[in-house]
Amino acid sequence: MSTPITLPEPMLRDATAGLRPWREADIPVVVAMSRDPDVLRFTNVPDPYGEDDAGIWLALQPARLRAGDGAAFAIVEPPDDRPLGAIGVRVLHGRGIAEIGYHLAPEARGRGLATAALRLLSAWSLRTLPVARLQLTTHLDNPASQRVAEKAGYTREAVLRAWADQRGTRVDLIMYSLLTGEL
Amino acid sequence: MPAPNPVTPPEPVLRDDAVELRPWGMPGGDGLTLAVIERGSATPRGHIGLRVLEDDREVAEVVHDDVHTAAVRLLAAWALRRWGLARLQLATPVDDTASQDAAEEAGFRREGVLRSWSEVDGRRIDMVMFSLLPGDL
Repeated sequence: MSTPITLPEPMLRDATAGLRPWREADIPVVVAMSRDPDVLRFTNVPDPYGEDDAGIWLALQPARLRAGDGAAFAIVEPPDDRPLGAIGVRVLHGRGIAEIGYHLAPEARGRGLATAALRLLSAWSLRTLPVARLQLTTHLDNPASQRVAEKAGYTREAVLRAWADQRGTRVDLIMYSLLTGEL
Repeated sequence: MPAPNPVTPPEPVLRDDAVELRPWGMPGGDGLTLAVIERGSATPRGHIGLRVLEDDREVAEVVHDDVHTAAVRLLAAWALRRWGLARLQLATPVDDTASQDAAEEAGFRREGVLRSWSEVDGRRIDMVMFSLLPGDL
């Protein structure tokens, strides 16, 4: 059995961004962000995405923490508490690896929020999770996400062909990694 | 997409001009292991395995010690078709250049070095990742 995950207290934050747990009241924002055309194109969110999808996803989070499977956070711009994006980490059990994913609402892009969030979550993950490697994948035609990974210190490793299933289609993805000691 | 059934063994044996692959022990769980017998030889040269990934049933990984080109080529073509895989992958330690050459000779494409990808005897090691897709055959 894996070690349960304890959420960071106080919340992770720097001068640019903060990461806070999701709440019931965030469901409409989660739905709106998940329906964004770019989020749909570059992630594996269900399509169509409704309030029930968000509700189920939110309800699963405590069990994910208890099982040591992963943690999900809203990206905020303190002192504002409104979610402007989403970031999460998922432990690949038995491998010493965890995988991070992130996206921002359209109006929040271009001011370094994702990079700050990725730095914060990466540092916390390497410190607290039983992993030696963090990885993330981006689409080949998503340069904004690639810039985020590189600015946060990740190394581009490979284009992995047909790496993942995205709603029934296999997609090529670029693999990035950050190792213990690289932050 | 139906998940491939990983326990389907090649029956009774898989063979081409160079090599013969025979069931080695019982197939089970997420994979199978086959003995590699070069044609004209009576003794197994080694073994080769296939394992379907736990979190992605359309992807399998070749399990190997030294990569035997003819064995990998034969098994790969069979598995992609028979199991309906979207991707077959093969990883080798960065310093095992013989296996890397053999993987490429068997038709696999080199994708890059994945750092700290595996753990062997408590040590994290970098692996070169290769892949073969149905469209490559």
